[in-house]
Amino acid sequence: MNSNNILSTRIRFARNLESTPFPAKLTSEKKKELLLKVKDTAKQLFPDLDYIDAMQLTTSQAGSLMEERLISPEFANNREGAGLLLSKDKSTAIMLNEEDHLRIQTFEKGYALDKAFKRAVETDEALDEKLSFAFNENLGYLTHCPTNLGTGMRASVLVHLPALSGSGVINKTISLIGQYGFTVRGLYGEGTRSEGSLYQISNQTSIGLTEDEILERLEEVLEKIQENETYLREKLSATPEIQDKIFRAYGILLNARIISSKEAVALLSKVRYGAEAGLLNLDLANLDSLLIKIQPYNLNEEDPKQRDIKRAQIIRTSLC
Amino acid sequence: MLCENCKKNNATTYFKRNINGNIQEVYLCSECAAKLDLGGMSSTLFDFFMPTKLRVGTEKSHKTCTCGTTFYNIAKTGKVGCPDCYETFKNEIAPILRKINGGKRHVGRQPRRFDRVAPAPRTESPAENTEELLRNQLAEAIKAENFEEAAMLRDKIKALKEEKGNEQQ
Repeated sequence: MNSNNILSTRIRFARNLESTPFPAKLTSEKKKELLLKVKDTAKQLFPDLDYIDAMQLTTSQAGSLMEERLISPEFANNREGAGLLLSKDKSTAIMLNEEDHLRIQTFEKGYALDKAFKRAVETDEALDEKLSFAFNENLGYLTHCPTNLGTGMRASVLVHLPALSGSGVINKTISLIGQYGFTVRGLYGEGTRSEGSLYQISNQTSIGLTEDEILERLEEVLEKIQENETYLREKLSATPEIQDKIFRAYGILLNARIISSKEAVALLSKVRYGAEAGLLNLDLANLDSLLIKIQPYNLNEEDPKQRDIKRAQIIRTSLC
Repeated sequence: MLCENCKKNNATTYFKRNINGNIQEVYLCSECAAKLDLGGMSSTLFDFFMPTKLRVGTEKSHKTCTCGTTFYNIAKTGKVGCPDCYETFKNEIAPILRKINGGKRHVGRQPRRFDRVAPAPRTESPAENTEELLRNQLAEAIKAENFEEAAMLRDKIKALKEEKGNEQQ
């Protein structure tokens, strides 16, 4: 399967401590106790993890982490009594006291479900030995929201689908894969809009299937999506209209002096399409890190106008 | 057509949901539809399938989990208070889970300490569970001296028993 339009892979396990109320039911004091306990245990097992006290984060710092997709928007907005364990290479991020006591997340660049899953399992097993996660043989891992029962796993892949999205076929695809127990979300997860033809595809069902079965199904869904995307691209990429759009987008990004986040993301999507199709000789990983750097919080500039100027500057330097 | 929830008023609202390929259709009267608060997009599937009767009936229920959660809290938020709530409110939660995921059992990974334990017997059949649930509701209704409701529940249990008898023949 061609996967150069897959930006990243993520596995998330929702886990909770036995006989301990979920974070929504805990007092600040109890939340703190739990943070300390989990943090100390995790740091002993994985010395590479850094602990970040969410309450010490500024809104802008929390926003940056969200833009990097290391924490959820809910975590960024509700930081009271919450914490984050983050590995130096940012490939493991454990949210503490979000909706569940622990949300173990592992990330990989590109398409690497097995690799991300393996690391998530290793982290889960080691932590479980010391912390004893709440589990029931019928219901599986016990979670705050009953829709996460079972494996507590969400496997997701961030994929760039300009052809499906541009032709409107994406809506049909979304409804079809919904019938198969999968869901399509925007860049930052639940309830967020898609920008720049970027879609997060993930399992909705977490009970009644083994983790391997869920991953296999996700793979099947992706293969089908990729097949449709490739078919449309073959028809579109060679047309002068599409090529014109790609090269114009590149031209604007190389020359703009003021640019909004929305415009930049839309143009970067076209440029990425050009690079994926071999029309533009650009490094995909570089484009992806640029996509994060130009987000509002990552720019770390309060004045909106100055922010748009700074964004244009960063894009020019990066693409030259 | 009568409302599928209260079975009293005429159904005026039709809902169709597609969950994992299971198409679920519900016909409701405007009153029950309003109680389900379907306008709020934040409501979870769990919340969506909470029977209105249960939601209203549990306001008076005094059963409380060790974490202080009552089933009324769960019905209102669609979220559970602590891991033990799943055991405390097993009978109330089971029928709703059945609607969300067809009552599927967990077949995935287990914590190591569970590894060598034989798999638990299958959960009780839906009918048994429903009967148990109805019996609990009946007891609550009698306690609250709500005899109209109690009579209805008694009839339901009777009907269910007859149905079961027919199946076994």
